[in-house]
Amino acid sequence: MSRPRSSHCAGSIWMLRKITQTHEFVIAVTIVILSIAVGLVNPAYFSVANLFDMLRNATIHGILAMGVLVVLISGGVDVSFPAIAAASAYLSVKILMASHIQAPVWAFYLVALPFGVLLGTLNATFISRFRLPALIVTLGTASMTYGFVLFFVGNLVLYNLPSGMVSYQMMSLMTVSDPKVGFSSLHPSILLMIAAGLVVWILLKYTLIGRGIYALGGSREAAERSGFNIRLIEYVIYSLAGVLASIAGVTQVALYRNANPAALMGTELEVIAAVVLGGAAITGGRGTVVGAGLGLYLITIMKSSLVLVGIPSEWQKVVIGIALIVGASVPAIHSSRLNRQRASTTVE
Amino acid sequence: MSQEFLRLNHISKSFEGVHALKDINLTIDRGKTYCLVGENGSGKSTMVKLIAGIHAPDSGEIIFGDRVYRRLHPIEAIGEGVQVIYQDFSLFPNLTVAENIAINYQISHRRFWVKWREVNEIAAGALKRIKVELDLGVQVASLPIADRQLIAIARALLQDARLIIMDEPTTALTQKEVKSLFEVINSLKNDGISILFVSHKLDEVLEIADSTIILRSGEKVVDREAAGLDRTSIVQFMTGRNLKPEASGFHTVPATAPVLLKVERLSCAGHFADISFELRAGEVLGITGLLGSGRTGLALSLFGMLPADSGMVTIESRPAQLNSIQDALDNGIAYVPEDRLNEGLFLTQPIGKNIVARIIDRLLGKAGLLDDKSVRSTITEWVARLRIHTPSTDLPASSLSGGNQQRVVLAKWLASDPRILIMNGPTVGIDVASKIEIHEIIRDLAGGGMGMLVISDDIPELMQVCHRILLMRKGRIAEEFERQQVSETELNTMLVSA
Amino acid sequence: MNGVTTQHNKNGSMKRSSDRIGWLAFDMHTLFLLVLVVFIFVLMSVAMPTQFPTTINLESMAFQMSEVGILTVAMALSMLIGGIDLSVTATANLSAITAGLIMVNLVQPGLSAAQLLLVVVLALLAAIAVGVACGLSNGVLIGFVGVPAILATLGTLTLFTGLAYGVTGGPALHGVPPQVLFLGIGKFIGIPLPLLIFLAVLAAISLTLNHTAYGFKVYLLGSNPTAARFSGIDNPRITLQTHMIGGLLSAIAGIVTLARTNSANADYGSSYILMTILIAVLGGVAVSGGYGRVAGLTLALMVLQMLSTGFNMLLLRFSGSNFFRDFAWGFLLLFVMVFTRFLKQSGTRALWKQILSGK
Repeated sequence: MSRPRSSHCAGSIWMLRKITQTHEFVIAVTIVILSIAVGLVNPAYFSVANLFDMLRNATIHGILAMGVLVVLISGGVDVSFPAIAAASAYLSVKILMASHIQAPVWAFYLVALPFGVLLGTLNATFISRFRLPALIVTLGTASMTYGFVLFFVGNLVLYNLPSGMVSYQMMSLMTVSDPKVGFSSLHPSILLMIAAGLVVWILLKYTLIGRGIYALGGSREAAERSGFNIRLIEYVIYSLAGVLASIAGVTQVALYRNANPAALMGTELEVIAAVVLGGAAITGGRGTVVGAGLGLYLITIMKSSLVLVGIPSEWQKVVIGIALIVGASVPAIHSSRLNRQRASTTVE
Repeated sequence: MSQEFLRLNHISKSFEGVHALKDINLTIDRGKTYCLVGENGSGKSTMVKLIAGIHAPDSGEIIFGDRVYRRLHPIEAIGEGVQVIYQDFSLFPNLTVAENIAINYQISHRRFWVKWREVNEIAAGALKRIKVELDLGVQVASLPIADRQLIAIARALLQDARLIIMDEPTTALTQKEVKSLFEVINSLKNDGISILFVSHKLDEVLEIADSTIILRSGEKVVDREAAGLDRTSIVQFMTGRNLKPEASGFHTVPATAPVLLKVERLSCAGHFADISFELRAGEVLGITGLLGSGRTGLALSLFGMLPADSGMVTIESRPAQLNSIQDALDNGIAYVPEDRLNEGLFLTQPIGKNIVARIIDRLLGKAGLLDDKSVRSTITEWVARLRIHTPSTDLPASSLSGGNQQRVVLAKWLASDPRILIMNGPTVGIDVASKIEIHEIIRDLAGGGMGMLVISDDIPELMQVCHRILLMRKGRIAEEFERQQVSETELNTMLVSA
Repeated sequence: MNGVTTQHNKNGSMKRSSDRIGWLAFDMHTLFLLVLVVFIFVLMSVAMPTQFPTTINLESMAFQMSEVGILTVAMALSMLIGGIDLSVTATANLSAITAGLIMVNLVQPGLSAAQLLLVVVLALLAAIAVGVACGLSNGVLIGFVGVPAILATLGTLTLFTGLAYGVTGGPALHGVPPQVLFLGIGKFIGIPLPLLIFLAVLAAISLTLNHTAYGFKVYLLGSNPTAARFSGIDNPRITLQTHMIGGLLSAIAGIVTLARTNSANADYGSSYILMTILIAVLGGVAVSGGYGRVAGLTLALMVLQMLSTGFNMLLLRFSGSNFFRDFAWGFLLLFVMVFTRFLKQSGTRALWKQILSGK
């Protein structure tokens, strides 16, 4: 068989078509359409203040989403990251408060990190070493982690946070005042989300471990035959998810001005929904940082537009559920159709 | 420095008491091309797996230079420069062409960072070496098999390979692609790299090989320069000179036997085209062809899994629509798949459950509940009828030998009393004794009036059981023979001269 | 191979050995769980002689374990076909809320007995219809659309919980007529009614799994979906039916909970998901599908219920003793899975060998 190869008929039209066929493009278009619709109903939507608010609301989920993205690309799943986030942040605050040092905010992050790594490594041990299903393992470690902290460490929400934390909460990169929305500031933790996104993007795109994560999700057997150190890759994946969770956890303490050992419980659904909506496949091998970011943004808009249209916020979960189902069904239908097509091109 | 790269010294290997390889001695020299030829089950793939370190020999040594291995591990084999291109290519469907080609290179060079320019350069260079143009930025999942094969070859070339083993490398390639592949192989030879081809296509064997190794039933029967061999003599060595005597009890199909299955101009784009044949009650019709000839597609189509685009199927003079497995079942068609372990059996489930899997709906008693007594008696009946050897039907199917496993699959279908039975590769991976017994079963079933389609590239097998044989090539029926019209050697020759 | 060497076996001896192996395999697992049940019972009784082995406590355990038990059966069914159903509790809550809303809105003081009965029947039927519809949507997504079970049920879990929040507006629903509460707190010849309902569910599911063609196919589909397809089994249909039964069971569990607690809540029993998976795994249901028995589930449920009650009693003086349970369940789940994985790798092969050699 000899058919024309498209590599040399390159050109902008071809590039354009390639871009418009991506999942990210479809999500981006959806976001634009939805934004215009929301903006027409409520012009305040297009204000800088609203943008700041939305970014602030998305910061924690954004950091968590980067960990979930990496896990999903490898063909795994993790529902323990909210527990890791809450546990490592709570432990960090407890430890630093007990030490009576006037700790600066970075110390909270620094103390929380090892807990994130430890719990992520625990996940990796069960998943990689014992080859147990990731969902059930992380359900187990999540319950264990929340339970451990709440029973053995403490079940009181700490409102009286150390001064380092409080001053961090007050910090702002930029403040705008809007007649409709009021004061709105851009919290520096947004930089953490951007950094998390950049690190994961570089990891996935420019390191061999990152490519190994895609390879693992594409074909575990081929990855083994190629000589990838799969055990190492899986430890990196789940530890990274743990690290990102601990960062998100401390950030959550700062933004909400309390340390809650049961914080973030249930957010796993929304974060996974965002990442799946952004084109990551739970069966592995697919997903991008940009897609995950767009998915998160789309869910954020959908939720806020519900309120604008006058639907009570109790219905938000319905929207997330539908988004998750649609986000999962579209690729499933697409791949079954693709399989049928491919079957007819394989022979002769 | 000696010319020798690899030596197998008195290597033997058996699986479950069946000799796959018997006392093999073999030398592979640097910069030479070898062709490993043999029928199905002759031990070719076992030999490849021994050299790649996937199987350990029962006895004997594998020697690279002055390093002697009794047990060679895959990583050691790679270290010695052995590269195997498997038939499934081990590619990543979700990655691009460039990355698939370059990824092993990057791993073996312990890269941390991925430089995309380098990846593209490596891939472009590797493709250039085999004179192939492929879009580097395209996902492998969207490419046809032929392109994937080229990628696998390009990838292997990038490794510091000193011996490249290619398992049926040319099956899916066009003449032009084969030609450029051979050019590459010739240039590799000049670099001192050895090539071991495992191939079915004898014409190519003769064109490319310096030396030809022929295996028959686990023994090396020929190992010499290819120059002295021609197609006929290779086929003779492969099959053995003393052909087995005619099978006993081969009944003839009476001219009055009704036509069970009539296929007219059946086509399915990309799989097969313009297929027409008739199958009469009591007849065993063989369908043969190389991998990719459309033989399995045709079988799947008749089983409703791959609905045809056009054409007509008539079953017992009634037109039949075969658009789903259920349609096929309703028409009394049964299918024994080629991939017994994945498609045929519930390995972890008891043998008994496997046997009644198909007819469980018919074993109901009072109130629509399963009638345990008839389930038990059905199982006992089929274990006895097909002589399935097991101490208990409650043992998992995985506890059985290949031959007995195939009987369980057969029992599952025969219990449903089909009128037409399609068997794809009925004795693949089955020892000789069981093979003969399964052939007997096939003849008995036909004798009882069932219509049998036997799909196989095992020519002696077809000669043992079939009344007629269709030869498929490129999705079409190329030839049709009565069994008496043709000799094994002729058929073999025709099969491989595609 | 073993198979070939024993070909001289006559039918008689074959049958005997098959019975023996079937009995042994059954016995091994059940025996282990049975010993565990007795051991924990004795342990708890010794630790708390005045609290644990009392009629009141046994009765209260029977009440509690019934609803978890019914949910566990629903979870186990989805695991048998090689999937999972994370939406069981969400389905139960949505069903309970449906029934609750109908009763709260339609039951008025002046209603006659017949009218009340009509409302109650309507409410229960609606709850069951909602449960089955939830199962139907899971089944369609997994069986026909081809969404992985994890993702599909994660999505429906969110959707059903969202619907429950939406229709209730958040707070729990109260005010079920006392005639219905009987279902949750009443007794029949001294046996708690929820336990009777659970036992009826067990009997029905046991019968379905072991004695119907559908049940037979469930096991085959779970152990090898490809071979099931090639054997003419309608995989999507079996998947759909399994999830519809799961939805039905979840609805029943929801009704029992509603009647027992006199309330329906959108996020009631969120820890039950982990608990049902733990019970299923401990009870011998394979995470990869194809294996599991009702007897194992029942014993594992008893183990967990006794542990749960025991922990509560032992840790009562500590604050947040229920959190210790979360910790323990997570730990136990991981431990049991590692243990069975280890047993599977080294144990079963040796076991078969032992059985085959006739010792």
